[in-house]
Amino acid sequence: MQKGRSNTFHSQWYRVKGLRLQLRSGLRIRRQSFWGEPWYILTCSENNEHFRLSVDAYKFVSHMKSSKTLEEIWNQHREIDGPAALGQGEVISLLGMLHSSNLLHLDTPADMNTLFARKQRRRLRKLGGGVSNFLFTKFPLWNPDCFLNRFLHIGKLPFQRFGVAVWLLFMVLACHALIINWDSFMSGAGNSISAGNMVWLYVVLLITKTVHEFGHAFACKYFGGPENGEVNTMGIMLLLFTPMPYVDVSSSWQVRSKWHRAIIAGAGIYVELFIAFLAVLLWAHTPEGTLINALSRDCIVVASLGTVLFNLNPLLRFDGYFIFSDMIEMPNLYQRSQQYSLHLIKQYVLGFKDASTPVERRSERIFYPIYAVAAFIYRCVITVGIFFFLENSLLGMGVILSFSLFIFWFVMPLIKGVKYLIRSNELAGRRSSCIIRASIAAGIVGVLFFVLPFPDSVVAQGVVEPRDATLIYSPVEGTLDTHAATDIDVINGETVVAVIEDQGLLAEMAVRKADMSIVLAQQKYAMQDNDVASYSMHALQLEGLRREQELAQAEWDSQIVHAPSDGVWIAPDLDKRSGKWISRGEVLGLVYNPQDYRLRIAVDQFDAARLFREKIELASFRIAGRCDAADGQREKFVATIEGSPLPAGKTEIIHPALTHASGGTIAVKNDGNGMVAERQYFEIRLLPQVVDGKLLLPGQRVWAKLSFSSRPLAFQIARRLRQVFQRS
Amino acid sequence: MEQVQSTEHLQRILCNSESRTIPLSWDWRVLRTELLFRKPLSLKSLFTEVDKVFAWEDYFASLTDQELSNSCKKQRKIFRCKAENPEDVQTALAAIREVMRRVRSEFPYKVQVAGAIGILRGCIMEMATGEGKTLTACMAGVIEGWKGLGCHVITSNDYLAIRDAEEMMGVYEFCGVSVGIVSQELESEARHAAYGADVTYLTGKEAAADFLRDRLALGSRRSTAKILARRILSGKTELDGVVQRGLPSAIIDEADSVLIDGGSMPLVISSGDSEAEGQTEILAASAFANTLLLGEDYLTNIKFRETRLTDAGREKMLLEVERSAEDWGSSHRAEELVLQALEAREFFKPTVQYLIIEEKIVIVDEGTGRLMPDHEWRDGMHQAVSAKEGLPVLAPKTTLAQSSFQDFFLRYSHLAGMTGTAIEARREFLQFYELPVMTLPPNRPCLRKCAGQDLFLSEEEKVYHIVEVILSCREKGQPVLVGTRSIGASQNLSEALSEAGIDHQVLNAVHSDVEADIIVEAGRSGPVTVATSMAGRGTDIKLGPDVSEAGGLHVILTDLHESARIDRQLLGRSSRQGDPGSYQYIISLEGGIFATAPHFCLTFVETAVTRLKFKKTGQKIGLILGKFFQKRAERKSFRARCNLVRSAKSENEQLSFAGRDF
Repeated sequence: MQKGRSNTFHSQWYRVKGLRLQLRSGLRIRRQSFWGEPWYILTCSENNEHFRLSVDAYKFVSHMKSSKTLEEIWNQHREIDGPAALGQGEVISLLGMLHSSNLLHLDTPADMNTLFARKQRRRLRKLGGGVSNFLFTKFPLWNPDCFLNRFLHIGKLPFQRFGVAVWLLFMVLACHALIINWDSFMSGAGNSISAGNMVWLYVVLLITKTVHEFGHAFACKYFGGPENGEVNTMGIMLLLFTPMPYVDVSSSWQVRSKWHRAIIAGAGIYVELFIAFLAVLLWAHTPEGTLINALSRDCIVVASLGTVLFNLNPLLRFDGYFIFSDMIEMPNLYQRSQQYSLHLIKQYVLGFKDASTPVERRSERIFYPIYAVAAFIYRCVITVGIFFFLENSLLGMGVILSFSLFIFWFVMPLIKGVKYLIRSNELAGRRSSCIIRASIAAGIVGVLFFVLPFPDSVVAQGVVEPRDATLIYSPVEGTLDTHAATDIDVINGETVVAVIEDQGLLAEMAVRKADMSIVLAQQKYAMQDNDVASYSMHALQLEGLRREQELAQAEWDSQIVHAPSDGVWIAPDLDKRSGKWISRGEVLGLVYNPQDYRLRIAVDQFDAARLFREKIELASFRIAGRCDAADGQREKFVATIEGSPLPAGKTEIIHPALTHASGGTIAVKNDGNGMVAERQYFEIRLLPQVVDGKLLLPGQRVWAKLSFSSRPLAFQIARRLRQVFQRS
Repeated sequence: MEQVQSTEHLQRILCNSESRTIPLSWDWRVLRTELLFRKPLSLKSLFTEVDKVFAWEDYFASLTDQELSNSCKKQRKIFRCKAENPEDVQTALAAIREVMRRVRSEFPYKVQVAGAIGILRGCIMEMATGEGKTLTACMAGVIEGWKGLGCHVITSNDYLAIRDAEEMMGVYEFCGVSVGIVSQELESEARHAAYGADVTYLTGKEAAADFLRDRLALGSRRSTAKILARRILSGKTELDGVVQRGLPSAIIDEADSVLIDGGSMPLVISSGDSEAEGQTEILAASAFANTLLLGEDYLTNIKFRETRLTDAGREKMLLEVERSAEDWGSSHRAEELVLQALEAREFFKPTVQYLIIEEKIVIVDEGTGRLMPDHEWRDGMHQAVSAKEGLPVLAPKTTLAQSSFQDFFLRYSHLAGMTGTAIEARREFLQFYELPVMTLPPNRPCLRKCAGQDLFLSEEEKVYHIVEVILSCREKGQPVLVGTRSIGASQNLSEALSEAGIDHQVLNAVHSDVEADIIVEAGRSGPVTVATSMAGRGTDIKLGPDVSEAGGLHVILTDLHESARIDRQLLGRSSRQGDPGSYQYIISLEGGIFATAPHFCLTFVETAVTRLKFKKTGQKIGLILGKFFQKRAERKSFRARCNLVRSAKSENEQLSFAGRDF
């Protein structure tokens, strides 16, 4: 109850002054202090509603007796409590609030019409809240109190010394197992989230969350005792359209120790982590590839990652938030921080000079805005994250989810703000100046989004290729005898890159040599015989044989393959072919110029349109992967565009390095004639301007960034969205 | 039949107290009428119906008095049986027209008949001033009276109620409709009888007050079941102390004044005994407030009629609270009282907001210029003003019942009305009362001429100019009506005129007893009448002989009122029903409406007017600005009324534990 300026006398007092009222029976009142300020909490045990009273209000309430009229009570209150006494207006609003929470006992019938109207409106608001809050709709189903009482002797175990010891033991075991198998865990973890095992993931999620909720429930029973530990509602909550169990442990607010309250709120995480430990052990002891193994891996992910990201995160309103806000003793942290941020906006944007601050403490003044901004950023991240996370696997779902989140978190507050500007009474008289100020603020944001240019670029993957490479074909056939090592610098005509030995040729040459020596011998013999005819015939024969021999020798010589030009010799698979048969015309390897590469970039067809329409201002690239190298591999290099983009889209693969299988971005399919890309892409060629040529190697993947002229953010976002929808 | 009807009445008393919900923001109805200009009843179809009424003219003219009377009785039966269709209404109107011709030798024009039809359909009819709204109301009243459920013809003051009822008595009698008049001094018995008549003439205040008193009299028996049970047990059909018999139908004359200007006013029934509380505090606060200095200890916001203590002022106050022996209560309460005293000092001026009569503060209604002797400001304001004036501070009376007029009028099942100025407030009629507004063309073209719009820098210049204009009019033999904004202004002007040696009459709330005489004189050749807005509504200034040739009544407006409707009403006193007439604005920058204007506007106009070259342009700009600020004031009060409804709603909700109020 905020104490504002309200009049001592109220014009409607005459209607209430004769009433005889008292608090309803069966209420529990307890004192609690927040930051040293005492408050009184009224609790209605039937419906678990709580009502917080300030000390002054409590003083008034404590005077209420059905034997006295309200007028008498008020006079008594003023006499006893003096200056701190409530005014008539405050009394009326206090009683109104108590009444609307059904905490008042009346002798006379109340205004039924108003009551019904209020009920109707509350229902409508609930419905309206349901519509706007449909991402978090709750359906209460079951009262688990009986069940919990019966099984409390089991349920309380985790919170007792023995349970905690077991928990710690398993934590050690699980950590040990996880550390040992860390690599295999990480390699499998990426596969966890994909459309294929979504259903299993959900089943696992459901089980862990059910255990989680029972953790809360039993903790509440155990720490709350029979008095405060009533757990009356359990049900299903539609969390982003996904049915999840929930339990209502709001009775834990009455637990006195804030540590116990924190334990109750954290109990879910506590038991969930225990499940995670069990799952780690199960996963480590089952063979890879089995369903159990995959499921337990899912379970680990859900129970650890999910818990930390969602449950323990104070920026979302789950367990972590409640623990956090309770620990720092800032109840209703979220609302309060919103309230205070609004107040700041009012003060600095709308120029309210006299607005009274809703927050007194300095720490809160600093903390609330930080929290509000952090929560806002987190919301942005979640909205965008869900969109892109589900873009690939479940696009429709992702779009619906992020769209509704967008509406709920961004559009609705905006509408509310506009409504406030147009309608609110608070602005009466300064409305126009406020609207102008708000418009200026909106204009600044608008300029930021719609006018101020931001760098705009397309990122695509490509592959390094030597620009002028000479393929070297085998000039002869034969077995590969020796060859030069890959990557060596070669000099034109001097360096031998390969030697191919044709044993047949050798034999032929030997035969021919033998033939020649026979013919020579025969010739000699003829000369001795002075057989001129034979001699000249043998001379001719010899001549022919020599020519043949020369030819064979030339062929033999050409088996030694020299580098045809200066450059680097590359023959990655020649090692495997050593000693094997090489037919004539087969590629041995290539010699390329290491100073002269080209990058062939495969641009997605949706981005490609821009390549033709807009001018690329700047192209840069960095080498993909190999982040381990510390010598500037992550460095960015500038490149120039070679020619214009190739005008036709294609599906054949430029280089296998670009396919998914090798870590690239192109999805492939088999169309019967080999692998082709699933979607068409366009090619653009870049010439890198690299100082040190050794950094680049042919066949290496690179990430190229094609920067266009800067554009306002809004257009960029719009284009990106359009692409996503085109894709689907 | 009779029994059934009385049960119905009973239920009316009890149940038509359901107040309707009021849309406070733009909704489709507003959009439809505002943007699409769709009227619920088109003028064209209205006038075809009027033509059908006129077609009966010859037939009824041929009847003898006896036959006409019989015909009326027959019609009465038809309407009592609720068999109501357009043809019946047309014949009935034709018959009533004939009756009026015979009884009053006034033959209603087409416009008046059209007005009557519109009223029967539940519209607010805007009829040019001086079109004879009394006849229109009478025609509709006869038909509503025939229905037998009772019809309230509501006017803005007792004088008009009595005058209208007496004028139309003959017509009603001829048609077989009984007429009752409720005026302030009527006793309970007579009231009961008056409400029992078919048609009752009264003011809105009386109707609402009687309604509240009835509710109080019913007390805890305010439920149908309880009353029926009581009736069965005791055998009594009458409810003791209850004077009204339900709220079936109301025809409201000067609807904008009654429904809009008066609508947001709370009507409080209080008992004579008072809570003796806080008198000394109030006196102390008033005395202390006199020691505070404007600008140093406190600040004022004229636009919102707010005062605020500065830190220095607050410190002084705390010292005072500590020092003085008086029981201030808490410092919170002290601040409340001091602020109230300051407000009384800054914003409540004698002769503007109130008069002091017989050691008592009497509130002056700024809209109608009339005194409201039994009214008091709420929440201690009345006491603060009394303390300021050094009058004995009477403790506030104990509230017994309370309702706003708006709430009350919404309880009528059939609500309609007419006025000379409604179109400015059409949105409000629609939102608050779901009443569409229709503007009827004047019966004869209006001959009112504008004789100039002058703006002066100071009051003296203005008065000087007014005197000049009056002198020139007097030469021509033209009567002059000078409209002023407040009683004080009318008195000042009167003094100035006396100094200039001009004979004149002053018509304001102080001299309300001679109102009728002054008005009769005002139309003669030559007299000068200085009046507050009191001379606006319903005042029928009949032109004397020769005056028409002299140019008819000349109206001088010396100030812009808070609402343009009041100005229009004053202007409407001239050139009625085809008479000639003229009007003139003579206002000054020191006038009331410019008080809320930003400073730079004023200096701009001032510099423009002082330069001879730009004098005319400056005056024009000044007038346009004046009208703009008038608009703004209207908007502001509209918003204030909206807020009132809103806060009343939320208050009611908060108070749901207190049981149902009236």
